[in-house]
Formats: sequence, C-alpha cells, structure tokens
Amino acid sequence: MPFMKGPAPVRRTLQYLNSSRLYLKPWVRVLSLNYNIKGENHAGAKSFAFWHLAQIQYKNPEVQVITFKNLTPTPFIRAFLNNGKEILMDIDRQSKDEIVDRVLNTLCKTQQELDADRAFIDIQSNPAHFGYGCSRHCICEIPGQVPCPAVVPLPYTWRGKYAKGHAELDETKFV
Amino acid sequence: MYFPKFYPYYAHDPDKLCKVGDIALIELLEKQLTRDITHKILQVVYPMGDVKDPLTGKPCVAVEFRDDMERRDQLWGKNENAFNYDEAPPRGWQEGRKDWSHKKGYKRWHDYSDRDQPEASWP
Repeated sequence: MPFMKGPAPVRRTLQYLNSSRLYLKPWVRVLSLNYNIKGENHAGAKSFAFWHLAQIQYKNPEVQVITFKNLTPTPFIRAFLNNGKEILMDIDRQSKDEIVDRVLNTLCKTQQELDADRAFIDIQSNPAHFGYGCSRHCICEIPGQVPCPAVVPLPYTWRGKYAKGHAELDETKFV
Repeated sequence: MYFPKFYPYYAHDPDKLCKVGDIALIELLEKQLTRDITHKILQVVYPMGDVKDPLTGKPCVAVEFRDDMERRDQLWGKNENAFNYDEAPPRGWQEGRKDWSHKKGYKRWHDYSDRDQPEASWP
C-alpha cells in the first residue's frame, strides 16, 4: 500500500491526524463539503478538503463526511444535525485557515468540553480511582484495605456519630 | 487513507420523493421494516438535473447558474442541440414506458431468454 507517495503524504501520518482539534459536536451527523475543482473562489475550500477533511473523519468516525464536486457554482459546507435542521456555511473566497476557524467556532467542541471528556476518560482508566465507571467500585474490595463497613462495622472511634458525641456509646450491647 | 464505500441501502419512501440519480438524506429506522429496508428518506437534497444552489436558491448546472447560461446564449447565440431546461418535460415522464424503477422491484437472479423482466433490477 503506497504511503509516503503522492502530494503531501504527511497528511496520512498518525501524528498529523492526531494533531487536529476538529472534534465535531455530538449533534452533527453528516458533514458535506461542496466545491469545484477549478475556480479562484473554490481554492480555499479545495485546500481545506486536501488538508483537513481526513483529520475530521479521523477524529469523528461516526460522522459521515462527504464531498460533492462540481455540483454548484458556489462552495459551501452543509452540516445535517440530529433534529433535522441543517447548518449552511458559505465559504466563497475564503482561505483554508478561515474555514477551519469558522468550523471550529460553529461545529466543533470547545476546549472546555474536550478537557471534560479527557478528565472523564482519565478517571475511568486510572487504577487509583474507584467508583462509578471505574474498574473497581470501592477500595474495600481490595484485600489489605479496610473491609466494607456494611459487612464489618468500623471501630467506634472512626464513626462520626460516636466520635463527635451525637450518640452515646453502650459497650455492653455491642461486642 | 479514506476510500469511499458504496452500500445499497433500502429506504422507506412512501411519498415517492426520490427518483433515480437523486442525492437524498436517509435516516436509520428505529425498527427495521422488512429484511432489507433499514432506513427512511428524510429529504431529497440534490435532485438530479434540477440542483438548486442552497445559498442563493437559483437553479444551477454544475459550474454555472442557469441565468448566466441564458445570458450567454443571448450574447453568443443559442445552440439548438443543447438541452432546453425550460421546455424539458418534468422528471418521470418515461415512467411506465422505459423507467420501471417506480415499481416494486426484485433483483435479477436469472436472465430468461424467452421473456423480458422490466421490473427486475441489477443487484
């Protein structure tokens, strides 16, 4: 399979594909790009497709990314959303960097959302975390740690209601 | 590298919106209708031969608008052999005569020598 061949084979490297920030929002289902092969006003759209479309597909494998060439005289990006509506972006006479900025601002997840997603994944994969979504529900499952208080009651001094004096200790009743 | 994949999706089209060659938007059905029909038509995005530029709403032919083509014809003279968009019959005029795609079709499993199969489609 030819790899380092053709124009700009760096576009096919994992490092290049991973470096983009073009994570689309979850309500975008289909992203279509219309442009013509010839024409000055289509040059920006054409280079956007050349450089960034593979990145978008790589980061969003569940989204259909499709191009229509030589269909209409003007270039545009048409995103079809979950609720049946569509977002239409006119990219006539715009450079590829301007198009990337526009797509980032309108259709892509913000840096905050990406950080939240990453934090969630970190919590899940880190073996030091316990709880919902993690590999182990509680530290009491591990031999050598404090056993589950539902099975073996904790010492009185560790229990807040006795330590803080909210309840009185009656050692004749409990072993 | 990403290569385009073509898969024949069978979509539910009760209103007969689509004709052969149209580019349409389909959606996965919550429950499959039949063994083959998994999707339903939402809208016809670009009908074949009648593409309207969504930004301006004007009809266009590939690289140019139809208005510009008419203006060019007025300046340079009209070609009689060219396709006349104003006087052309609407799509579907061959249905029943040569176009059998509106009928419920089946895959052409066998080619018979003694009879035609107008309702069969190539798989």
